[in-house]
Amino acid sequence: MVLFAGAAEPNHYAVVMAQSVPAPGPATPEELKARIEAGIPGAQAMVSGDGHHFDAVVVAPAFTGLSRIARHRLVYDVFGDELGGRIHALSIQTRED
Amino acid sequence: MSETQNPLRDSIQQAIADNPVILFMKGTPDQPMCGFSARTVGILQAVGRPFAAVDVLPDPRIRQELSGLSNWPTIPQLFVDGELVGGCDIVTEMYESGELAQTLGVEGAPAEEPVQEPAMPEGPPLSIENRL
Repeated sequence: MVLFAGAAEPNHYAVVMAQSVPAPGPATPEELKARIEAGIPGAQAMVSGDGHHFDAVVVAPAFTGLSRIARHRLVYDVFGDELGGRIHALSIQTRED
Repeated sequence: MSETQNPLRDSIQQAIADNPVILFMKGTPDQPMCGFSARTVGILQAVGRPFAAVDVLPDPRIRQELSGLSNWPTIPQLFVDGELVGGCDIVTEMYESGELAQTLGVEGAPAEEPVQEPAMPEGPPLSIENRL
């Protein structure tokens, strides 16, 4: 993981990470929680779901000062192309701190 | 950036530019094909701001090009004045906090909307259901 001063958010640090690797088999809330927490510095996630539709509440200091769009992108970036496929739907709520 | 390189992407960009409020969704406002799209439509209708809608389902390339343009992986996607506001979660949060009405310029009494012509020139691949 690399932190750098992002051009798109000049006053904040953007988080850039390699997309994390899916576990074998169907997605589980536990897997999503672990990957979000590994992918976003300091994040704590509560994830529920049925294997296709998931709800995540993510609290992370990295969200401070970021727009809702930017916060959601950080979470989406953990999963990349899996969204809409292996992870059919992911509802996200974000909080700072 | 030639206009002929990617006519579908150009059409999407044009639709976003031409419609002050536009929702890319699965299905149509009258017949949404996904719960998230349905909820977003319901919120926009509750706020009372007319909007244009594009069904991404008829051609998978619409979603692919849209997500490429917006850097946003999921559907629905709401754009206001050319800017991505968000998907169902963000629209829901903004509705509940009252920010959405502000963003849509319908705070207080329902605004009188000027009638606008449908933005798209004739022809597929994009079909817009104009709700203005």
